[in-house]
Amino acid sequence: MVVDISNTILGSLKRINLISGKGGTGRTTLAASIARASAKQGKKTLLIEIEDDSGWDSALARNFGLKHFKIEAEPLEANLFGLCLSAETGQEKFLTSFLKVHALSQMIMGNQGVKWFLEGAPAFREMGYFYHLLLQMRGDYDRIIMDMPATGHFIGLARLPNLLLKMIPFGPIADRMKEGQRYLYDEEMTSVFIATLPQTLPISEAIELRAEISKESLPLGGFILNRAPFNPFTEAEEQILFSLSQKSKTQNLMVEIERIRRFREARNRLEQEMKGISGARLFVAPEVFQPETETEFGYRIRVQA
Amino acid sequence: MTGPLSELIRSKRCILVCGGGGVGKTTISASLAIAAARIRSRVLVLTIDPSHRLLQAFGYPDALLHSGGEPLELSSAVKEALQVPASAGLSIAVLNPRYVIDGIVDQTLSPSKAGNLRKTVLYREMTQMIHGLQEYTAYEWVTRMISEDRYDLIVLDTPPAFHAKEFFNAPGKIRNLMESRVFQIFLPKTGSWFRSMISFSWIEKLLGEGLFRESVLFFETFFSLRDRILARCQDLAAFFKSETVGVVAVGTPELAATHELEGLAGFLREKKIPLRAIVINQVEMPDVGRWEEEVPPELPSGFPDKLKQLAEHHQARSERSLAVLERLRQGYSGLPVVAVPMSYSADGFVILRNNSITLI
Repeated sequence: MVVDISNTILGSLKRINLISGKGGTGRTTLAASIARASAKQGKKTLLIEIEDDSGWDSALARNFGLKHFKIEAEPLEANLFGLCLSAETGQEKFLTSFLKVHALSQMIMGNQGVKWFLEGAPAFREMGYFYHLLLQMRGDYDRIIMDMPATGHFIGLARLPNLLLKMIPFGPIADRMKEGQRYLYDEEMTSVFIATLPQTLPISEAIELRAEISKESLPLGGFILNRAPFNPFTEAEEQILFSLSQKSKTQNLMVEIERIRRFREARNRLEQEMKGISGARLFVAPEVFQPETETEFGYRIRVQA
Repeated sequence: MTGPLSELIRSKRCILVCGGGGVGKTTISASLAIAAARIRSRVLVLTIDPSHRLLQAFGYPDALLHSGGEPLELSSAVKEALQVPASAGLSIAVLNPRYVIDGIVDQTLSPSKAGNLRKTVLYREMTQMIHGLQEYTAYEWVTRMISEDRYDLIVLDTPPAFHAKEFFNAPGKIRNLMESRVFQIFLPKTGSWFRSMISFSWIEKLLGEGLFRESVLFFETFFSLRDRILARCQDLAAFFKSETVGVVAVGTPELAATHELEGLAGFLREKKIPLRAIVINQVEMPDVGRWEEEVPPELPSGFPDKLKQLAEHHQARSERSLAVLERLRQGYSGLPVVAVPMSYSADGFVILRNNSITLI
């Protein structure tokens, strides 16, 4: 079922919403717009990103005129809060919950050797993120929207509970992982949305990402087909249009017609892919030309009363 | 062939093509390699695993994906389609980081140790979990190819990353990890003083026996690779700055991509890594020809109007695209900024062929 994103994605949101997708698909801007629209509905909404040690300003925070989000939730707009998941914060908070004494965990976390260990060792960073996220899921937000890039590192985060439970089926870490699983693997509670573009390769990547997400049993909310091109034609007219492009001499028309054809093809492929996935939908976000100034950066999603 | 990139493909041993996600790094890398193959005899384009679908779209053989990173010479039919002389050496390799790590482990460790390391879950997840390892394996592979002198030019399509500059940060991250005391925690002899500092027992209690045993095994064996990896990381910093390497940044005329590109350029300047050229991919070209002349007479009513809207829409799009390009050219006046037009051909070979001509 194809729907205009501006009207309906809000209705499809669950309590926890992971907006995923490869670089360049507009994922971050979509996450910001969806969170903003959700807050405007009066829902207490938390927008989350994962820390990035590159030292660059956060592309997500930029949508709100900020350089970065903080490790504790801060208000952005009415009903809207922003937060940056931090591995160190998660590790420290977990340690505190385990040792029951904050000063002790601070002392341990302050040890340079422990810091190196937690920074470098595989899986421990992700464990920190996971616990920090878990704390937010326990909170009283109506909706959590998370900007979740699809690079290996973040796939690692999605895979973490299953991976760790294989190695450590019992104990305090296992308990937290199981708690996290109860939130994340419940389709009443969580949805993953995959942002993609109407081009061959991004669609293939989105389909591959979907397979990866299902492998970890995360429930799929649907695909967001971003940057749908300007298209004044009906479906019947499109056929005439496509036959025109075969003999077109003018590049301007040919390029635009081909863009529409690729969008149609992308839509068909995603619809095919979604057959048999209950509850998953296809959302279409129109191409919007980005204004020059950073504060006006990106898309706007209308909220219907 | 007098463009800014023609100098690079003539004189360098390695061209690093870097940039943010979705800007077309792989296409640009392949196009550069094709252009280079017409003037140099042994050219290789190296890409990292996730891009393999694109390679398939360009007609590269499936066998590559299972070749363990061994380069494959393109067939004469493919070369012909790309307008590369059959006598030219043009190879392509798809790097799977796991194969490279396996290779290092097999070379360095005894068979039993290597076997034990491979059995750990940590090792299996390692290329995903350790930051910079994927990038590191690309270096490892490229420097080996250069030292064995198998190619005149290697075009490296850098792996997709959260940020373009992560590629250059990777050796530093790996070095920090290898030098960190994390290894000593798990080493039976060398780390004794350090171990006592952070009581071992609670780590074991916290992690659980399974993960703890895995970690000890993992770090112990991985530590034996330390000297080799550290030495290689040292070489890399110099490698980036050397005359044999040319760094090319790729972007698109979109705001987000432009931010990324500017960040990358600034980062390279800071690190004193010379950036040789900027390629702006997917530039929307302005009108050529008149759409009115193409409208057949028997169209449904309203159709010509819609075509007109579409043509106007494209015109506006292309003006925006060229304005961004112009701004970039002014901003980087000392650097060549090469525009590659948006291509909507369904034929991958046509795109590569056109790009290979536009680029140089």
